[in-house]
Amino acid sequence: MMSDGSKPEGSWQFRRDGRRKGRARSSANQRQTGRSLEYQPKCGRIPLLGMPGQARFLLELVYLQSKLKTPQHGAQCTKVVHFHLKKPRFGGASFLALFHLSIAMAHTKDGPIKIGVLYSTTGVTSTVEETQQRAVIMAAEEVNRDGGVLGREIELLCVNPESNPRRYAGIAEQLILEHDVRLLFGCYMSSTRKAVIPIVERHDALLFYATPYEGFEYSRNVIYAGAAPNQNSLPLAGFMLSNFGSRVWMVGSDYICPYESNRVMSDLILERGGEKISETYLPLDATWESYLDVARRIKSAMPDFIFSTVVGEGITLLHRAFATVGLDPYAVPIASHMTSEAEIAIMGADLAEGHITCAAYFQSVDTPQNRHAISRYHDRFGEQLVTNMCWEAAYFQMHMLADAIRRVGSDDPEHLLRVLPGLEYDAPQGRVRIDEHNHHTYLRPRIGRANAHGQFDILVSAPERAKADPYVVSHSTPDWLGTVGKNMQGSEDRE
Amino acid sequence: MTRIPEHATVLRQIRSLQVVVIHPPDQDGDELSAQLHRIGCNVQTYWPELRVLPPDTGIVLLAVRPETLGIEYPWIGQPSTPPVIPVVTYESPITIEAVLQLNAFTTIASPVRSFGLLTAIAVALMQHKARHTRERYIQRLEQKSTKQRVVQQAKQIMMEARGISEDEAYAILRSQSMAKRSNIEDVAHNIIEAHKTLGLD
Repeated sequence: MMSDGSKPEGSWQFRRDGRRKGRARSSANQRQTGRSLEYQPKCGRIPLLGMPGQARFLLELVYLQSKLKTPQHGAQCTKVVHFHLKKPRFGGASFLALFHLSIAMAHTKDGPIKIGVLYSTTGVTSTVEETQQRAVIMAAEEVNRDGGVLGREIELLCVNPESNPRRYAGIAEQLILEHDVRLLFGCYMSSTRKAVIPIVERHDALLFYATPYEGFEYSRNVIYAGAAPNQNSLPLAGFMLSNFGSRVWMVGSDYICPYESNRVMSDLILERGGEKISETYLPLDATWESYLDVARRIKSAMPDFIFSTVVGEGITLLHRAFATVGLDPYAVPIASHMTSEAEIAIMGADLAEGHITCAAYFQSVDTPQNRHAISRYHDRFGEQLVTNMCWEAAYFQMHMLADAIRRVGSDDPEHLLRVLPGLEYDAPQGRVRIDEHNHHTYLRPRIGRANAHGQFDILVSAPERAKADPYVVSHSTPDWLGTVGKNMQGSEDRE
Repeated sequence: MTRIPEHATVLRQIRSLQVVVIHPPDQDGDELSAQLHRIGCNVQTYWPELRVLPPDTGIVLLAVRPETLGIEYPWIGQPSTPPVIPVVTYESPITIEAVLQLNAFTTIASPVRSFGLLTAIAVALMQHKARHTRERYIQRLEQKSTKQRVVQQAKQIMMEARGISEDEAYAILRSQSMAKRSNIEDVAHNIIEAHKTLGLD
């Protein structure tokens, strides 16, 4: 959709080159995103193609920099907002970047609807969070292209909290207090969500959270779109225990979500008289050697399968270590509800092939909504990009929010809370619904096996969407898994 | 159990209380410290480890978080351990289990508010004292019932050996204890031991 022909002088990339120097995936990411998010300093706007003639929707991407950042871009910009950090504890950080995205509309009665976007573009979980950021940008552009909501444009304020819980809290409060934001998207790890919840509760803001998590939470100021354990851990555990056996090696990142997933898994193993060989936790920044060590121990124990709750950069390391020691994914697969297409794109399809993931969404889900969303995503951000469960959740949440604003005629969180619970939407995964009582989302669990193309062959899907049950302590396996049988090589018939 | 007229004293003690806070220096930690200072407590803050509790610690506020589940506080679970109030951020079963292990009477929920902390401290102190009293009372009861069992057993032996009534057996025990200037339980114990030694049963 970018106007490549009119690319002006001095245009610059979404991400500065130096930031990720030394990271294994830096070149891949630049290749993926470099083409799509460019900035024209001269006019400060990038016209989007395919717009109706009268309504000149313009994409304005303004890079807001902290004082400490390199000045060369800012000096050329027509519109630069410096993001001053008053609190000294954040002031020391050298690269707090605020992306400010707005799509100017011809006639707006009121100001724009401001939405804060807290997805990390650096740090241990940035791979997936970046896709979530792109998803909300795309959804917001879709809404604005259709005339916005209530004649108002959606304006996104994208900030990078660097995968650091304290920065999530600080930035959330800053957006609310200084930028008049009361609608927030973002957070990834539970620690980051837990840090932001007190802020949104205190200021009566709303947080849209689009990542699977461990459950046992409800805040009236949060709308949850990621799977709860009964929508991912449970189907995955049931599937693996029925089809591969019950000698299980568990490996996870050292934080709350893996503990809870492993608790659910341990209960189910015990129920079947299986054996938990090991429950290993590795720090989020664990080294290659520690993954290699775990892989060697797994090889000598030869479990029926590996239950992985490793997140972030560790996922690649685990898969590489697995391959290095010569384990066969078709004999001893890694089962995870964290490994998505995004991580596979980083590690390479060859390392992921044969391993199994449970999610409410895969890029391979064959619905018209998904086909269209993927095609728009490719047009907007690049053909080579893949989608994933967190991308989809962030995408449909933005559309559900826009729908809710239309219904109540206001972007005030108090008014929105009257219509968001119970709201339904035709998401790429199928029709979803926000539960009236627990603010979690009805999702359709699916089991997929990674194929040679970095995509998932869907082995089995829940027959209907599953209600999230965030407070269930003792699980029982869902019935729909009983129908799978041993035929796992082929993929399920497409809907 | 006797009623303890200590409600008022517990409240008065709070301002002179030595409070140990084991909590990271985040928003909750700041709010805890600030409110404790407002109340008038003496506050000492530690994070994350504390191997030895400072002397005269009256109460401990302990952040129970997923990342601290592995940390061991050796002073927990001792008879001398002061009351511990867990400060909880997560309500997942694993965190709840950790809280249950602390034998807490009350918890403080995150986000910490100034309201509720004083009540929580009062409840914890009061219940801690009550538990202490109750444990001592139970201990005394157990000792008493052990003694009664010994006397009963000795009486039984004498009744069978001499063909006397229970009252007569007890009268003998009492006169023996007075003559030897010892407890009736000790006399009874000696009789049981002698009976065992003679192998008469």
